[in-house]
Amino acid sequence: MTKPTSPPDPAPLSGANPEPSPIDHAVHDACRHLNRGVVRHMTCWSALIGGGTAMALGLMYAVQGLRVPLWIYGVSALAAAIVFLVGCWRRWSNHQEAAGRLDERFRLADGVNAARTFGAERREGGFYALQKQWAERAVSKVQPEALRPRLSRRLAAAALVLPLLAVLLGFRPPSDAILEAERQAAATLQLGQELNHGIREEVKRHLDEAEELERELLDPESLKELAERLETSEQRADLMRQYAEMEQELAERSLALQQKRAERLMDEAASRLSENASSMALAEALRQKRYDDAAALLKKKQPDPKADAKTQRAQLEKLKAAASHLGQAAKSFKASAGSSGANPSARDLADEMATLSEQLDAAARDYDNALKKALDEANKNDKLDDATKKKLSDCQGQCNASNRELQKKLQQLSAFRKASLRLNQMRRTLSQCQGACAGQCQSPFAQKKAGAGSVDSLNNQFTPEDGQLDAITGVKSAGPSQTTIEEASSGAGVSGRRGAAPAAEHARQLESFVDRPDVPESLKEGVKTYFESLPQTPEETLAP
Amino acid sequence: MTSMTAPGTPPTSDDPQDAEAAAQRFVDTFQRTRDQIRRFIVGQSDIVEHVLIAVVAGGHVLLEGVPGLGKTALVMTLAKAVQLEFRRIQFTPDLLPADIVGSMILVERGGEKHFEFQKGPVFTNLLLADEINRATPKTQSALLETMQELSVTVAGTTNRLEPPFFVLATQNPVESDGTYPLPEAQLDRFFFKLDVPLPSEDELSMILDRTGGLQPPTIEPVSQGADLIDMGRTLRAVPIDAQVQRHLIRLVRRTHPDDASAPDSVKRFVRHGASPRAAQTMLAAARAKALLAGRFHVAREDVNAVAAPAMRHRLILGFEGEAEGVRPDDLIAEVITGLR
Repeated sequence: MTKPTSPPDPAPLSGANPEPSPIDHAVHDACRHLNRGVVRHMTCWSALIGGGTAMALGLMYAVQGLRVPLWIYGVSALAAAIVFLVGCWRRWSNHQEAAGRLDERFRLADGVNAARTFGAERREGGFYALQKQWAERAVSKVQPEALRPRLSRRLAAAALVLPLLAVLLGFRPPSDAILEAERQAAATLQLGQELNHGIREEVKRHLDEAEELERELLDPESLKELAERLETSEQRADLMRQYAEMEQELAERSLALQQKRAERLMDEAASRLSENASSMALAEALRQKRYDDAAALLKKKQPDPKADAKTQRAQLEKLKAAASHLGQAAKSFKASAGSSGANPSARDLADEMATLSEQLDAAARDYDNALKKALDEANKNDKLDDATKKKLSDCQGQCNASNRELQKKLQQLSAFRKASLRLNQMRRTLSQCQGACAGQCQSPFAQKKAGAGSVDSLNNQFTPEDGQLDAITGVKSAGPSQTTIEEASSGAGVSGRRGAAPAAEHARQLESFVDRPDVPESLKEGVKTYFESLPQTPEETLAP
Repeated sequence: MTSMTAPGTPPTSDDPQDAEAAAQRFVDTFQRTRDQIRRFIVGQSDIVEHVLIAVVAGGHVLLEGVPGLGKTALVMTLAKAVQLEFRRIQFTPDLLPADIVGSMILVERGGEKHFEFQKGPVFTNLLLADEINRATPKTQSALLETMQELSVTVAGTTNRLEPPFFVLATQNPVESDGTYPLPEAQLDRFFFKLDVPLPSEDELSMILDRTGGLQPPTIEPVSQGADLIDMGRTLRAVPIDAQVQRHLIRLVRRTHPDDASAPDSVKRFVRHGASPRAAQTMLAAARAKALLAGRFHVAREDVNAVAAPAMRHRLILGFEGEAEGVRPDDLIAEVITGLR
């Protein structure tokens, strides 16, 4: 886009003469009229192009029922300005070009151009003077305003109408569906803000309420970061996706706490302990997963050093029984875990519990033996020597230490359980958030309204205890059915359904599953990998 | 060749009045001569004008046309109108160079014999070389050398021709047997090549009326050789604007197939474009056109108007152009059109 080069504009013929010559005057007039015409033309064209651009872009929105955005007018105005400037720059006439146009338009046979050139070159006299006179006579008869290009009426009308239509298009309201979609988007945006705020508050509350040990397990910084990372969006699917991802993250963390295996071990221990009447309370506490209470009960079983020896021995008996049952439960759990190919960490936990129980049992036995010896010695001598006292003290200390270790383990399990519970509560909240995003329920952080549905009704399949889905067991033939079942003899009829039909059905289900926006990517990948690894055709299945 | 009227002040003077007077004399003389010729030659106004332009510009003209179109009559009428010495040579295959330029002959004078140069018919002001393509190349080149040098050298002696000297050659494009087409280098020496057209019905009727009577029209001498020389000087003083000159140059350049701006047809059909001499020719002729149009400067339209007669014989067509019968005039028209 280069402008054709034109020769340098010659100096006015007048030179030192202050009065411009008729030629200069005519050329100046011609230049002015030409450039006015250029401005008028380019104004029309730029309005036409700007209006056309706005109309084209605006129609793209209008046919979709959308409101025409303001930026379209900005872009169109910019396009129009560029067209105007470029057009003016390319078509702008200098005096040289104006002289050429004069010659061409009025058939002056290059006379004006020649006169200007000769004048600029200071060629005077003789034929040059005659030529100048000839040119002056010629330009005196012409009307430079006739050079102004005539503006096409159609162009002018189009330049007026098109921008007007484009502006009117901007006032057109969007369709009801779009208004509804905008309302939805705004509502989703607000809902996202509320939910994010609520989730952050809940995370903060959980972390504030958590004890020291729980807090360590919960990893507060990363939890806060997860909560802070949440963003709001106008798209419900985006919100659902991020809540699902966070829920998945929390589920993984909960799983990492191995709470389930520890609870199974404790259930085993509770059943063992319930065989002994003295350990019923401890068994009940373990069964009810009140591990803090269990630790307190275990502490109570610790012999009181201020009590007499008989009382202490009786207390030790109970402690030994509890330790023995705990140890047996741990060993039994370990054996079953080993045979069922359970996670090694489960076996480690059982090992640890078994070791602690055995240590406590052994320490209690030592203490009991030491008490027995001390009792015998006291009966003989009415007095305990220093070695016996020391032995008693050591055994007591050992027993207490072992007991404390076991208590500590139980407290640790309690912390694990509580942390896991907190994570599951957060998961539940996130699940409710997804439900709220899907429009199935209210926001878990909002005031419940009458008739707007309930979160609980849809999410109670999550058991807060373990965070896993319960298998909902129905009663056979008890509920209404959409299909009827006809009795038929086995193998007596011909099936009208081809074997490929279920496969296609499953494939559709798979596709709908992996296309859902709220399913985390990691799960999608897993499902894809699984189904891709399956044989694709019956022939493959049948192949040896 | 005495002067009928004294030639005016040379237009090299800076006085506008002198220049205007010279221009007026040019136009008057030209129109008088043209009017005289038109008394006998019917129609063919372009041919007459171009012949006159070539003559005042000091150039030679090649007239091409079938026999009987008045080529010879035109030249003879011109000679009478400008009151120039006129000779005619009918070119034939057996014509020798000496028959044109002259030869040394043995002359006995005062009892002594010596060689004396016997001037040939070329020693004239206006030479009609009728059917120039019928002579052998050797004879043709003898004339063409004279056209260029305005002198004849025989036996080591150079004899100058008296100015003005114009050659108006004719050739018949139809008959090709026994002819020797002029080489390109020799064609280039002609100022114009004019294709003489067939007269129209009305023109033919007028021809019959004028020439069929007892008394054919008489041609009065209206100018002289000195007038022609004076007109030639006047021509050279007509100014040309740099842009118009650039237009002329681009026009010539565009006839060359290796020029980037040349039209596709030129690149395809032309082997060699017009020479710089063509540009000189066009400039001189355009100046004459300008003066005849009442202007004192050369315009693009003047250049365009003389492009065809000045360049049509200077375009050398390639094999494809010859085979397809491409007319140089069409190529020149395309070159002009592309420049507008």
